[in-house]
Amino acid sequence: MKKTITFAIISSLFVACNSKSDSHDGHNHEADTVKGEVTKAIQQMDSTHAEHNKTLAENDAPAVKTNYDEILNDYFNLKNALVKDESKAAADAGSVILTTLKKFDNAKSNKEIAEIFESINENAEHIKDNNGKIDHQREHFAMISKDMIDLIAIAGTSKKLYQDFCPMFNDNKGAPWLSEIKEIKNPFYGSEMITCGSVKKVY
Amino acid sequence: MKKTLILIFILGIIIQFYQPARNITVEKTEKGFLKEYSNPKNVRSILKTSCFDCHSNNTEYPWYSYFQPTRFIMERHIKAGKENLNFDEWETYSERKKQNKIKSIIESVKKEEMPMSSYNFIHRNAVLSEFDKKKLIDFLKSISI
Repeated sequence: MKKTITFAIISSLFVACNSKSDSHDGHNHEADTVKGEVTKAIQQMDSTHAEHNKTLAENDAPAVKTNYDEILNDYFNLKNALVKDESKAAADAGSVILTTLKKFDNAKSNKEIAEIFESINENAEHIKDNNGKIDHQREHFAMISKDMIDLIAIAGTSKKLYQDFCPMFNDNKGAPWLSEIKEIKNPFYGSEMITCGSVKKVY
Repeated sequence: MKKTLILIFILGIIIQFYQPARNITVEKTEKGFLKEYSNPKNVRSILKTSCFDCHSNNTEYPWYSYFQPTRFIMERHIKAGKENLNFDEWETYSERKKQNKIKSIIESVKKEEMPMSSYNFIHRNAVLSEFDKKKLIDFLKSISI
């Protein structure tokens, strides 16, 4: 349909143009010119379509503007496991993050995101491999939280999020984490100090 | 009983023939971590003595590394060590990765998880004194963000 309309428009344009200058050569010459021009136009349309489709494909596939909410959800599961002092659940959550990350292969196209992904991957692996060592898992949770905060800063999110801060973790240097709920439930200390922390930012 | 012993002996000889490539790089210039930071002298020597055998591209192999199954166990440690952290490849790490590693090293040293106890058992000079640990951790904290 599109091609037919294009053909009609272009051929009408060339008929109009040619009739002004080359009237003595007449119809045949015009037809050939029109045919040649239309063929060229169709070819151009095809390549434009191909490029357009490629761009569409790139935009549909995970790129900078991609929604990383799936990773966020896995991260929340990890966080909630640590809140409940559940090392095994945390290890499982780490494993799920690793699987989810693999779905975002195109992240490699953006250097910053690729580096964040590399970091999330390493930290998730440590968390997965340290069932029973919740302190170690929490150390890597601190690192993965930073990664997630940086990822959201680049890619944005459709979720309502809170950035919380625990002032005591890491030798009182403090550590931030992301939460889907407003209420403070500390993943770094769990039941030991569950309400410790404050909301620093609301997304 | 005698047959079993003979079998074990023969197996012992056969496994000696498995000698995987050694973790040694020809160019022994300082690069990576040691090049990037002007580390105080004792930090350098701590790293070289207690860490580099597993966490660099150059292992100082002892005489018994020529025997199996010791060598096999050693290579497994070296491979895992390098995968987790390789000081010679430090310049290839992103800033994020460097910071992650620095934090991990501090925690491992604090908790005495590193150097590995099995390594310390044989390499008595690799054992980190309280003074060594403090020097190392203080230095690492100074380069962390």
